[in-house]
Amino acid sequence: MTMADQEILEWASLAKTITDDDRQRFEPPGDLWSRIATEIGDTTTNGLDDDAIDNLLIGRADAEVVDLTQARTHRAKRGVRHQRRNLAAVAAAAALVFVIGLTLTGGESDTVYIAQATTADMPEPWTGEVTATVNASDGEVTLVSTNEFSSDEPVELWLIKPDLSDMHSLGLVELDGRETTVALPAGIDVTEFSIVDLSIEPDDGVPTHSGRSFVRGALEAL
Amino acid sequence: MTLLAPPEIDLSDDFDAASVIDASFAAGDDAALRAAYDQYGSLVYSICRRSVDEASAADITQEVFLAAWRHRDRYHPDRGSLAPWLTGIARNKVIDHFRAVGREDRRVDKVRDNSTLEPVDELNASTSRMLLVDAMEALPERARRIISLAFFDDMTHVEISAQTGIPLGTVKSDIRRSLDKLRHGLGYDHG
Repeated sequence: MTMADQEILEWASLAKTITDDDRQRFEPPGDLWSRIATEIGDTTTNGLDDDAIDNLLIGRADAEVVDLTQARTHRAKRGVRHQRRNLAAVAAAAALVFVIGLTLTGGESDTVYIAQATTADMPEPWTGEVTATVNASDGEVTLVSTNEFSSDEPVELWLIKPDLSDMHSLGLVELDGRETTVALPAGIDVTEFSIVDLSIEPDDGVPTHSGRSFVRGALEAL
Repeated sequence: MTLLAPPEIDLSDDFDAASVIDASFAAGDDAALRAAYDQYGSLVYSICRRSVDEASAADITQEVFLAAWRHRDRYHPDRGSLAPWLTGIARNKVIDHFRAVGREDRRVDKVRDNSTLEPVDELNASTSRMLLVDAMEALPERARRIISLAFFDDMTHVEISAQTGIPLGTVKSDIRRSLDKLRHGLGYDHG
């Protein structure tokens, strides 16, 4: 019997003891979140109803930055060894601060958004600033980095919903301290997909997000 | 800067929102606390409800999230999901509750007496089972089907492949990935 077989047996042993009670879930009282928020002095979400909170999280001017910097997704072709290597990189990395600026132009009015994000899973020591300018009318996203980000693995640009329910890849880019322009996919509302994310993507043919983000910022109107 | 060929966009369920919430919580974002509450509040409250009354379960759930938030630096996403970390705190809070009310409650005697730890043992066991339920439900549909056949019907990889028509290699890889996710879901990433 292999170790994997043995592990399956152990999990199966636990799974077979699951009862209907174990599957039952109770919803907490409706006021419980507001009690928690009050206790921590959360003035951004305390007392708001769910719709208001949803609005808060999808990129309004006063929205809190959703820091997703250590995000990990389960990649279809990534094995345990690969995951452990990533985790080692996370553990070894120092917390660094980046700034992403996002300028939204076009539409009824021109609005400028700036966001700041911190990250703790920087795979390579790199301090820099990236400015992303979205020109909605031209359907283009322009990235300008203050200095080069050197990596043996590709870097991918993403737009993510703050509630984490959806994301779009804008393709692979190179940060070499100069400017590049990326096409904004048709139908993407940047006020909805308001988190800008740059991630390191292993060249393994897996198209989903690696979780190895090194720069991320949310929108904040100037 | 050069734009390289864009990959296919895949918005499948491989995008694991729970992992993103876990990492965001560890990073200390206020919005992540609410997201974590939305994600795990029902699990924590349900675990408490199995041991204590509604009002106490609500109080303990509140204490769990407050304690977790205030000590979030102790949470390490690489060691497992936020779920087992929160439920571990809940376990301790429930035991504290037992002790606080124990003078009038026989359960506390069992808690204090190492030879008869039935309430705590049951709390631990039911918590593991409830975490496993959630971890299995979080699996993609095909993987959940495969892992259920392996767990509940004791089927081998070959038997699952024959039964479902899913290629053997896919069955093996789905099981391997599922076990990874279950370990993470129950906080067993580091043994």
